[in-house]
Amino acid sequence: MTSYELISIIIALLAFFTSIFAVFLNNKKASATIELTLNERITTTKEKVSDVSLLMTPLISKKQHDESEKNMLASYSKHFDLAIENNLNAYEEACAKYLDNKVDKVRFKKTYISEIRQVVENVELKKYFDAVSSKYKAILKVYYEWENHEK
Amino acid sequence: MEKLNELGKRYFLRIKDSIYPEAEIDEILNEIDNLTYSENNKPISDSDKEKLVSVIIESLKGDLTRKKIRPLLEHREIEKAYSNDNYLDLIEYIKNQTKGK
Repeated sequence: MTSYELISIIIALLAFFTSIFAVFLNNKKASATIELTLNERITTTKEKVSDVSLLMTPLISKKQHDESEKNMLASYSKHFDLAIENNLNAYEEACAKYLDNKVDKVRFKKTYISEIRQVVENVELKKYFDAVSSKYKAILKVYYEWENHEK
Repeated sequence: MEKLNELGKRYFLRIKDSIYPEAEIDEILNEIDNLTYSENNKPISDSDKEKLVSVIIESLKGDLTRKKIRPLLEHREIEKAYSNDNYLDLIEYIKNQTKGK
């Protein structure tokens, strides 16, 4: 075997390991992209809740409402609930990705452990997290996993 | 002849800065195969060729580790979890204010 052949073999081996490394990096990049998308959706849906609440504030602050204002408030309340549900859907999707191992699990837990706990334990959101009838199974599964509750 | 270590580092920089690293590696391999000692103008030995390639490989591995692995590991460390405090306060406030209205 000539030195050139030997060198070529070494380079080929290096290229092989580099390509394995590239696959590893691509997986990490894909995971980071998913995490960014999930985070964006959660943030956007939270902003929507905030936007609706801003529209409601002038009406809420009035002590008396005429019929038109009552109707407006009822409509805004529906939009408010819808915005909350959209936000919970975003959390549900994020937790489903976590359970499917599509994200970096350690980083995801560090980022969302507090948020998920607060959402599930919040009094006003309690109706969404009934253990039997809740549509947000992934959120509840992640919550119980992290909080070490037996379920 | 320039010290093998320095020459290997120069080859590494050429590969690192190249737009087409694979083509650059081919070219460098040809150059290494045709290198001669400056003292006597004789072709360099096989062991010196292997040493040169080792320097290049080690430099490339070190560069990959420094540039690609470390930032990924650092990115994993998150000092503080996100909080929903204000968001949930807002929901509670609106819900309380609209009860019975």
